[in-house]
Amino acid sequence: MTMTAEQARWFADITERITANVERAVLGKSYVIRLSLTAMLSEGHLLLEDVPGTGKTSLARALAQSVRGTTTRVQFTPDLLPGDITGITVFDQRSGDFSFHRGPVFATIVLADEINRASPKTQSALLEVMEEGQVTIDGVSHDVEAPFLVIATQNPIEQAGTYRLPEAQLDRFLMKTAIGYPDHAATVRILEGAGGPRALVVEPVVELETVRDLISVARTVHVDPTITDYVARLVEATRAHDDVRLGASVRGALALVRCAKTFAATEGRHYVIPDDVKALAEPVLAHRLGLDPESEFDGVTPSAVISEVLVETPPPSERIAV
Amino acid sequence: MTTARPSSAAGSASTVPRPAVLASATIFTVLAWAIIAVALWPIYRAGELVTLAVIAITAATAIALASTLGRWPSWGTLGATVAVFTVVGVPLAVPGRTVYGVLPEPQGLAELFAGVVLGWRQLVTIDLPVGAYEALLVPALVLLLVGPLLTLLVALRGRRPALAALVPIVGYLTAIAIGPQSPLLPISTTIALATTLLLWMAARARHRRRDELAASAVETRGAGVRTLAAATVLLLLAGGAGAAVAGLIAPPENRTVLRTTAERPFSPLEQPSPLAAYRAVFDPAVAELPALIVDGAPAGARIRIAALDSYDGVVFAVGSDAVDSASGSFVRIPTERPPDILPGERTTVTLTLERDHGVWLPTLGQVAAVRILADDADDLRDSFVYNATTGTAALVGGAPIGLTYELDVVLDATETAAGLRAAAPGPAAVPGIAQVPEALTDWVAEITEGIDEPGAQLETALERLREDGYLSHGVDEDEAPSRPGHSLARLEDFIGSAPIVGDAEQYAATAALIARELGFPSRIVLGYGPLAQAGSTTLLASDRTAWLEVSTTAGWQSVDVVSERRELPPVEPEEPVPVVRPQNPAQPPVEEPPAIEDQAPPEIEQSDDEQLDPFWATVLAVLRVLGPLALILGMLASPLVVIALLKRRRRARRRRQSDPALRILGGWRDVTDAARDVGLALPATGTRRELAGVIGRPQALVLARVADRALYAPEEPDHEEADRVWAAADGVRASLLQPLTRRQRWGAAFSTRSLRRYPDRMRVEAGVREP
Repeated sequence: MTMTAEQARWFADITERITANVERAVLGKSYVIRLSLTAMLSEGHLLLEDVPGTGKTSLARALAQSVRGTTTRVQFTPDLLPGDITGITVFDQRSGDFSFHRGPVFATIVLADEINRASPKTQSALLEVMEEGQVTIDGVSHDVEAPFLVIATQNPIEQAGTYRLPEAQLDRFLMKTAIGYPDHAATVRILEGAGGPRALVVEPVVELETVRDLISVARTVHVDPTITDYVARLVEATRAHDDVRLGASVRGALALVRCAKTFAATEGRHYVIPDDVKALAEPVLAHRLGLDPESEFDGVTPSAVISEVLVETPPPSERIAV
Repeated sequence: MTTARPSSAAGSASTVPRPAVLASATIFTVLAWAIIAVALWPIYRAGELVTLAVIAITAATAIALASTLGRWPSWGTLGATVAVFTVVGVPLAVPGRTVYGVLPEPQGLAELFAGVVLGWRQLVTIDLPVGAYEALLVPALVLLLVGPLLTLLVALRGRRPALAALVPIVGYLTAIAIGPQSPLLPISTTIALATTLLLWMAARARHRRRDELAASAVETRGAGVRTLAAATVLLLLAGGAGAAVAGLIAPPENRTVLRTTAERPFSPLEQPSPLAAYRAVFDPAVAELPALIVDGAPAGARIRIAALDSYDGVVFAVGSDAVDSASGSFVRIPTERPPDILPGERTTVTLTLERDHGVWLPTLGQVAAVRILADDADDLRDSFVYNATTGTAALVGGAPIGLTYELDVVLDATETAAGLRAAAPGPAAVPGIAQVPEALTDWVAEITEGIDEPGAQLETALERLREDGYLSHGVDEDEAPSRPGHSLARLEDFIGSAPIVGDAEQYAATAALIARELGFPSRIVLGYGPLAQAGSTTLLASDRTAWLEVSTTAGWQSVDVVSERRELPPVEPEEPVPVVRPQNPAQPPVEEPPAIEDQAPPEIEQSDDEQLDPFWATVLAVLRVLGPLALILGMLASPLVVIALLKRRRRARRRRQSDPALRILGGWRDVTDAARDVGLALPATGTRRELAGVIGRPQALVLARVADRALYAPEEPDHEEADRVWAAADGVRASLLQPLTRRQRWGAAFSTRSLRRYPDRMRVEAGVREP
């Protein structure tokens, strides 16, 4: 089943409303909001590498409120235990039974703040939930409710006492981006509203059920073979790049197609075009690349590599003969 | 501390160049001017030129070197040059005006300095080669003395020594300009000169670089030698290739040089047609008077007065020099035409004019040399002009009665008439004829009916003319009436009457027109002969005759067409004649030739048998003028036309695609190609929306979206949508061109930017995946 044009227009209308609603809380960051929404509707998770105070929490909270979902925030520290995230089984002396106390991971949107400060064991606990969509405690699996979005952050400045996420775990994040500081106009608008409540509460614009419908419909966006060919060529180009030690994985290519489908739907299209791929290539693929140490030392960044690959790889402009 | 800038390789006016620079400049100058001397050879073909070239180039080189080393002022160099010119000029360039071959006569000096100014014109109005005739070597002396001198002075003392190479180039072009139309080794001499000059420039560059780097003590000898060697090898290869190509591509036989357009000293069209006055020599008062004494001519020789090959309907005339036949082009000839130009056994014939022949000077065969035997022989010799095409001569100003002159002539075989039956029309170009009498056309058609071969037709017609005709000058009382003249009306009457009565004037004119009717180039020769005997012969005025010459594949053939004198058959009058009127009471007046401006201009080539309609003749004339121009313009514009056609074909091909999606894609591509052609830098790996952003037209963005949907959406587009896309594409293209100037639009129309990758994309558009 393929998405129809009418469904695409409905999809775009809903996502437009959500984006506009969230933008009331996170001023001037519609692009990041769209990426976050794309990640959520693509059943993926978002890694924000950003300095403190750029609105990460506000983004998570506003997004959850817009879809009438729940949101939790976990501040990762070195002494954080896996059970602090997933929940623990507690023995009830009165009933003599073990009861499961859900951790903060059981929410619509989980903000994992400074994920790189926790130990790898704790990170792995979260990543398992992200990948499997369930928590297994004492042999009992507990599903997390869809939609489920983890927005993890890591501070690019302070690296002391942190546990850098390994490539294999970075690969599990659908996208990685940064909110960045707002521009001057947005900053002025934020300051003008500083006298109001500390955290702006936005009204929900859709129900969770609608979001689940959106997720379901997003999978049916049409992808022409030339587009998948283009994605494959991009991924292969990252592997062949001189500055790259570890190129994008197949999981990365799948993620790119998945995100492109959702992104196209948010644009009101029921088909993917190369522009969707180009728009998402950097947030989807950049964090999956392992750069050559010498190149990294020379200042080459994954984003620069992706940009170069996009310039050197011609998009499909023709049809494939059938 | 500063480092003094080294002197340039050529030095300057205030410094003396290094010996190496002096040596290379001298060697290359001598070489270049030796090549130019070779280019002058076809003009003179005489050993005197070799002597002149050696001495002149040597003297010029010596003066230039002395001037450079001695730092002579300009006037000193000029004085030395004039002195050398004066001393060696007469022995070298006017050898006929010397005492013991060395000392110049005063007249020789006068001719020497006059030749500096006048020699050039004389050289381009005289038949080549000229040998050491009169002062015609003076231009060569000026060229080979002043040329090397200037070359070396510019190279060694000039501020821009590189300009020295221009002097030999100018000298070479001058040698070509005053030279013959038929080139002698033009490619070889050009390549040799170019090679010499390029090597010289390479050597100069090497010297200059060496001087400039000398201060930094950089060793450049090896590099310089290698550079020079490489340049030499390259030039030799280029020269060899050029020579090889020259062997395959023959140079033009007749190039345009100064003598092509030089004003001739004598124009036969300014003279009355000698044939028009033909009947006058049969006046009983002069008919028996001696007209010409010929001594030394063999029996059977024909004395030629004039050859007439153009006919305007009134008179036959000597053709104009405006025609390819060159029959009207009379030039001065030097003392002797060398054997390689005019081969064959030479016979010396002495002729004495006993009667006025006007400007025409009787000759025989092909004249190899002429010697005037008179007190004012030199002046008369200067007036002697000759036309080698027709073998006729003239004296500008008229030939005086009593003039005696000797001719060395070559009587070629073609002068003897051969059978015409097997002859075919020859290649000679003769002026066209304005009109042919209708009666003559009918007569020829009747006579030649059933005969296919043109030679047989001509022979039959001429034999019939001779057999049916009767000779009468119409001047004696016992002769049949015969009007003079050879106008259309006269010839109409001549050929249409029975019996045919006339004399050589009418017979030759009629025969010439018959030959033209049958496709043979023809001309009338007025003269005497053939001579009955060898030795001394006195020809009377009444011996003058005219005969036909036809061009066949074997050459020009002389044909006597005048009937022998015989009695006319008695004519039975229909009724008694009551009054006997004198048949020819008065001497017929000589027909005055029409004024030059009234004569029809001769045509370039012999005209076709059928006269063209005036309209088509005008169209043809216009096409002849505009045709070559259009051809050149067409060749120049052909790349642009090809580009325009390719783009047109590409657009049509895209528009006609059967698949609507491909049609839409074609419309989009048409827009991007138009954008590239107007100079927009579209990114090679951009998406359609990115390209549309660069194009900057809202419609382009819409087109990009439609093209994306057509290609990536699951639904197939329809042709109506494709039509809309093409309409929008046309609009975008128009909007791209709208702000451009007219020149920029032409530039976009003929730009090749959009065509460079088209073949690859064409395969893709046809449904094949791009690699």
